[in-house]
Amino acid sequence: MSIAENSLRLKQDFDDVYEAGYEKGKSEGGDTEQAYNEGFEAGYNNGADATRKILWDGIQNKGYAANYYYAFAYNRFDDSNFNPPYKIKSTDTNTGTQCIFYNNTVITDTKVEIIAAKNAGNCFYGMSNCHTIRKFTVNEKTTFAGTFTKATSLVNIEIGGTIGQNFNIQGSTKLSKESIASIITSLSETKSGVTLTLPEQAVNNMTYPFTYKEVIYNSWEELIATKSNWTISLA
Amino acid sequence: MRKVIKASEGHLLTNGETYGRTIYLAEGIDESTFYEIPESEMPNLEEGEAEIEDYKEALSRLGVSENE
Repeated sequence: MSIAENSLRLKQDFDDVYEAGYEKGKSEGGDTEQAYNEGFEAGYNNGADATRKILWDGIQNKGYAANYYYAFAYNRFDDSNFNPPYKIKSTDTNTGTQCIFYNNTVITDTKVEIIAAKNAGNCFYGMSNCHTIRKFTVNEKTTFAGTFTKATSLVNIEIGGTIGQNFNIQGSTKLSKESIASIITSLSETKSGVTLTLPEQAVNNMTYPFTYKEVIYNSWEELIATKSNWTISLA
Repeated sequence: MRKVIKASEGHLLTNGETYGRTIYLAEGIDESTFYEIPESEMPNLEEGEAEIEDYKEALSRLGVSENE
């Protein structure tokens, strides 16, 4: 087929699509030009939503994906297209929670709850512009090697479940006092030989009294009082 | 009341695994297991890097760049 024939074919295809869109818009939106535009936009948005749902159903296996290893790493997703409709619940105990956002420097908010399996190593490694990690639910066996390394902009994090392994978040110097309280109150009260490493700067910036989950804390010592089984390092 | 130890200016406390300027010791932990090092001798604790290198190698074998 010649270039001219191709061009003609493309124009015909375009005209066909235009006509189809016009007719669809008219039938859904009415006869006036404004109604046509509204109908077309509504149809477009519905179509786009359906497409996104198909995409995310595939990525997350309709919420049942077991392994998110490197799923959103290296800026493949940003704030505009990272809109998971399901919780990120990884059940693969080997690599399921590992490196999920490894070196993603553009996502600023994880948007949904992340439920960790056994190994959360490097999960948020290098998320240098992320300010909010929504609920991060862990269990006593979850390990945290490099999980928050270079997460330097992090302000907000809510921990769900119980932290039972060494936990180091020292690079996140902007952590809010509520985030620090969430981490400390989630520490296991039965484990021994475990260490929590916090950013000294963020701890020194905490002001008292403050309330977290309906409990009033009047001092740092009061906040850590029930976790005497943990060595707490300020680095 | 738990024991608190603090490093002198320009130094960190460590027991070989944990590093910090101020350490709130867990009950039963002997403070003599911690010693001071100059801050400049703080090791690079970017854990997991070796594993990441394996991942890059795997991508390379597939002919895929990291940003694709």
